[in-house]
Amino acid sequence: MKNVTVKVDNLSFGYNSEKVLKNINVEAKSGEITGVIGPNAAGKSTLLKCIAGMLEPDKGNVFVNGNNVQKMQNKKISKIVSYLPQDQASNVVLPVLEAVLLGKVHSLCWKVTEKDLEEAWNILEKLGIDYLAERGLNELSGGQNQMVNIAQSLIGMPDVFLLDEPTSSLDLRHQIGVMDLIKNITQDEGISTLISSHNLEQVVRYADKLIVLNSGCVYASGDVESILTTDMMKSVYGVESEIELTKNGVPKVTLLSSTER
Amino acid sequence: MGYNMAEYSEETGPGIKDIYSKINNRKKLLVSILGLLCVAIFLLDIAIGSSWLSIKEIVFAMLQEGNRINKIIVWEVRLPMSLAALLVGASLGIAGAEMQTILDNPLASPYTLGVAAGAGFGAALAIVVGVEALPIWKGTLVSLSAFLFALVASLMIYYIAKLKNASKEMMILAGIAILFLFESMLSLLQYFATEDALQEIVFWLMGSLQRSTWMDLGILFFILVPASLWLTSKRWELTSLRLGDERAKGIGIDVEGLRLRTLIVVSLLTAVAVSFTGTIGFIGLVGPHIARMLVGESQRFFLTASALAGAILLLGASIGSKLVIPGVIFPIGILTSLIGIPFFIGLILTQRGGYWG
Repeated sequence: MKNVTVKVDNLSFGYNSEKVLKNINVEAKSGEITGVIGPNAAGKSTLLKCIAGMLEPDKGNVFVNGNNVQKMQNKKISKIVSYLPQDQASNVVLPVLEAVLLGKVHSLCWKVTEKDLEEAWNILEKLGIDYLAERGLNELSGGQNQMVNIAQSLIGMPDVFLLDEPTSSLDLRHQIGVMDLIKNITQDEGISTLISSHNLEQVVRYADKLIVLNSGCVYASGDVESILTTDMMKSVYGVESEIELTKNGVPKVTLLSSTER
Repeated sequence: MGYNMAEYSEETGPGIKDIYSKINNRKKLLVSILGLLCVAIFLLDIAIGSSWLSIKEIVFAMLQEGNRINKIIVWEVRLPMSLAALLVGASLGIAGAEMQTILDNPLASPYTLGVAAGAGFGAALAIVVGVEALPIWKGTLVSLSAFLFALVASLMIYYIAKLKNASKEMMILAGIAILFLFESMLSLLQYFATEDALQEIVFWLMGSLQRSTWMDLGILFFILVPASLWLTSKRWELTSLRLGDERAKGIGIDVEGLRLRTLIVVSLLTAVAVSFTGTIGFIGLVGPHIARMLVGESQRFFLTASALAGAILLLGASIGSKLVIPGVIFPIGILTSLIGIPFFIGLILTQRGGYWG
């Protein structure tokens, strides 16, 4: 079981002169799923990319297990942090098995070993897409492609797992399947998982903590119950809503109307 | 899901290994067939000409035995041309494959980014300036100048792209701009050139395998081998580039660095090939597509298959160029496109999936 810490320390980032993230201070823990929510252009994807070391912040730092991500090489980062971008369809003529193996590109030797293959098979089975192993990515549907992407991100068993809208292209059954799997792996392996999503219902159901971003600032962060309030919904999303606890203890948001005309 | 789980569920180890071997074996077979086809067509290319030789005669001559005339034909005429077709075809096939990979674009070829235009300008410059001055060294000078300007073109693209984060869009824009720059400078040279020089420029641009000397072939070989080895060592990283920049970065690939380094290697390959034989178009576009249709885009097979497909295409064109008008070698650059394009369009129309919809 890993013991992972993610600490975003006073982070600011801008594309050209426009500030996208302003003085962000958040943390994420081992074995927990942290939901990153907020309206369009709140900076959710940018925050994940900064944590993945893919964007150079203007100010501030990201620490994973106490190591400054900005000072690490891509190769090293990729061994501890896995980033799954918002999905795009792929037309690559490449067998699924090889696409999954690419997830551990930096540990592949000249010849693909039995261990590599077993790891790939293992994750394909866990995701229930082992039957796709021989097919080409170009033959898959959008949802199947995303399942392969998830397998690719998980094969290296990262410490930190960053997912940008991971289930938006999946059908309901696979949404639940994938989220259950991510929840289990997160807890069993002690991974720290951050998921950005517009799907509030889903985030609330699976996340342990929430980070609410609004116009590049942290509006609030903490436990789901304390964060998810009608006030937050109103001031961040601009909607009137009702929030109630369902039978199994999961908050349910019902949208009433938009406050903006 | 239309899948028999029992087949693999007993033991996972052998199951996945079987699948992996199955994926590999089909492709290994296809690459081997391409290899054999390449050897066969290579021998055929040596055999065909104004006097036809049998395979036995070729082998004897290669071993420095038998008929003296055959030895001269093989060693001084046929072999250099056929080897040039083989090496240039393979170089252009590889260069095209990697250009399409790093630019993530099926339209890309070794000539997309103006490297060949640079070579064309360089050759023309040497022809215009040097024709009278140094008649003996002319061939070498033209090649050298073509090579230098091909390098100048690729360095320009490299530095412009580097300033702009080496995105593929930036590389294409910079490359096309450089292409037009060198083409207009070439037109300028042609405008001022004498009639003799003009004719020579036009002939150079058409491309020809007859120009290459044993020395040229040696240089080509010693660029091709390390370039292929380096690209092979990067085969997984290069494969991941086709997943898109974000995805590749997500799994820890230094996308910009890899793209720039590959651009240098591809430019070198192209520059050498083009400077010795002129701009033989089309091979670098079609070779990789044929390879992709056969073995897919895993660079473990794609690279070799592209090289072989390129070599086969150019050797085939070389044979064609000797047969069009008996006793005359037709300019090969014209022929590759004339025969290759209908063939290529036919291939595209029969394919499904991938780039070909």
